[in-house]
Amino acid sequence: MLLQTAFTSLLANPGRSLLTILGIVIGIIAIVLVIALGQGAQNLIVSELENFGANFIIIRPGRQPDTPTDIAESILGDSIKEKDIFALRRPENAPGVVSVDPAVLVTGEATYQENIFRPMIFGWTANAMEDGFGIRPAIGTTFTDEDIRQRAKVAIIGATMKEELFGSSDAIGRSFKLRGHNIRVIGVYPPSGQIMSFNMDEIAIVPYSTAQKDILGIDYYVEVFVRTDPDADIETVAEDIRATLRESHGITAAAKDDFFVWTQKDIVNRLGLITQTLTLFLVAIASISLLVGGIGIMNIMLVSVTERTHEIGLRKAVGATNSNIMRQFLAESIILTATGGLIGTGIAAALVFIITWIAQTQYQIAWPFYLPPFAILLGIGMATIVGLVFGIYPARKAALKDPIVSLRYE
Amino acid sequence: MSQPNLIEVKNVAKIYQEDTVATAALTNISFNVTEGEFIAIMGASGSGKSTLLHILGLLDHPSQGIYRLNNVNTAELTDIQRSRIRNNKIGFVFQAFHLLARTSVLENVMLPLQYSSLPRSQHIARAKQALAQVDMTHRIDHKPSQLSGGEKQRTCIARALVTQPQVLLADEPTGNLDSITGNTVMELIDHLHKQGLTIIVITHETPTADYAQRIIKLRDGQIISDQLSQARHHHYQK
Ligand SMILES: Nc1ncnc2c1ncn2[C@@H]1O[C@H](COP(=O)(O)OP(=O)(O)OP(=O)(O)O)[C@@H](O)[C@H]1O
Ligand SMILES: [Mg+2]
Repeated sequence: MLLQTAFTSLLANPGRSLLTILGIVIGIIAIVLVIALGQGAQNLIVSELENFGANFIIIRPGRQPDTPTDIAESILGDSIKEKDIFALRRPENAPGVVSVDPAVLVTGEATYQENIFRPMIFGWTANAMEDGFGIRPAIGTTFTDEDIRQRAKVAIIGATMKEELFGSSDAIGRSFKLRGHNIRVIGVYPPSGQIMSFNMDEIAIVPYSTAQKDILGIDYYVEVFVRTDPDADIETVAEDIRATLRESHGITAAAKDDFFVWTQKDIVNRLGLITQTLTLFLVAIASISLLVGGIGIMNIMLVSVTERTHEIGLRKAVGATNSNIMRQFLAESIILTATGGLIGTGIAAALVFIITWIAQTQYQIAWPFYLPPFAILLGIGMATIVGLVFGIYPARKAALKDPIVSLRYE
Repeated sequence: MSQPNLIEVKNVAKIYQEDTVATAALTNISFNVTEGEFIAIMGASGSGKSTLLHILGLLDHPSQGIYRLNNVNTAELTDIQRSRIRNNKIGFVFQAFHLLARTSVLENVMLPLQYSSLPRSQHIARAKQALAQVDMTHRIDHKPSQLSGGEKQRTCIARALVTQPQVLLADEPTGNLDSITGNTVMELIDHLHKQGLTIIVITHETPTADYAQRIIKLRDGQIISDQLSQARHHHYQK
């Protein structure tokens, strides 16, 4: 009955009702979109991390990044050097370690004849690439430990890079120029798309020794990738690694660590925390639009209460109590905003679908369509609460109207 | 033989206090109404007729005096009790109709039932019954804007009857109608009276007042006369 009455009066002015809820619709779209995409992206990365396997540990210089300064310190950190790699490779130090692959990152233009390409170049080991990402060259070969020892100027390149530099002609055996060095292509990876926010088709892998000493001229590594024995307890291995590095760096207390160690679980947890914080922040911003929408609702409900003064007077004369009137107007504002919530959630769902579709078809990202039930609930729930909160004042105003004055109202 | 009093008004006054100015709309009003009476309240504009009717209809509170309805001192009623009595004991008819423009005749008549304890399944039947009483069955799906003045007022009477009240309070029910239409509306009200309904009608037109058995005249908020009607409409005895 209450709902029917509310619907009747809202549908009496459908254009106005729609305009009124626009603010709510936009706010809800933003909120649902942020949550759905945040959750979807997190799921995507977590699932890729899980494909990666649990048997790896990442070591980086600097402190565990909890603040922006920590992050900067970690990026600029130079505490991990060759002697650490040797220490970690000694089985008596960390028995669960299978392989230790240090990495450096090189930026710059790669040129071949007239062609220029800006790849992301990892100084790494070829087997780490193969073990970690499951990618091996489609054409040519990988480099060997011997190449690493001899600092061979060779590279395995991604499919796009090959296309951009060498076109359709054969790349194997040809050399591109990078920071004044001639690097010979010995392998080309097959098209692999996006993996963990890296476009695998735009990378190049060179021996880490070559990248570090010849191209960059530095003596440290930005990251060390450790594979561990599947039968070993990963936390024990991580502890062994910490102990080894502390000894190697002459550190006595854990608080003074100039490196940090992450297992897959640490990364997943951290990622969850980052996504949550970011999502919360964005939802808070989107909520401002809900607030504005709510004020719009309140405004239009106040207009409606004034317009319907006679109706309120009449209803009271024929027996409506104050709370009957209050509930009638509250029902109207809640229906308005809940409808806005439904529409907003629907549009957000469509947008998530389109975005994931584009990611899948245009960017080859295996991003499944995912709309968390929580996002739907929150979208419709928040809209309803806005209707309730911003409907109270107009509804109360209606409820407290004097029937005689209302009936006389011109 | 004396019937129990439906309405008992004793020394009622209504004073509107606005800042420092006090307007006495009613002073020292006393009268009783027994069940089944048909009363007209007459008086010049501003004499306090509507104010009195609002008090009788529990839309307003007297400033002084006692108003008993069905032997209950209305001063002791809560707001919710007053709403309930307005709903099921009192039927209002207004000069300005106050029909809801967006809804049909049937829905307008059903409106008071929203606030009654009658089960929803019976609302439509009850509204149709009330519309039959005012001979508006053929117009139930019309919107108020599609009705003539007389039809509008008959719809309002049906709305007043739908909860089967004890008393019908009408504030100038013929005020917006031409005299012929006004007469048919008064014939209808007279007919309801003959079926036993208590009726109090405000009017300043003598032809309208002539339908009543008893006429109370107000001047400046006071009763100046309270007499049985001399009009020839009444071929029956009280
Ligand atoms: N809310 C109010 N505040 C102040 N004075 C009021 C108020 N309502 C009514 N009055 C005054 O009380 C007096 C009686 O008013 P009321 O409406 O009862 O007259 P009435 O007899 O119905 O007149 P009419 O025939 O014009 O409808 C008038 O002088 C009016 O100005
Ligand atoms: Mg009046």
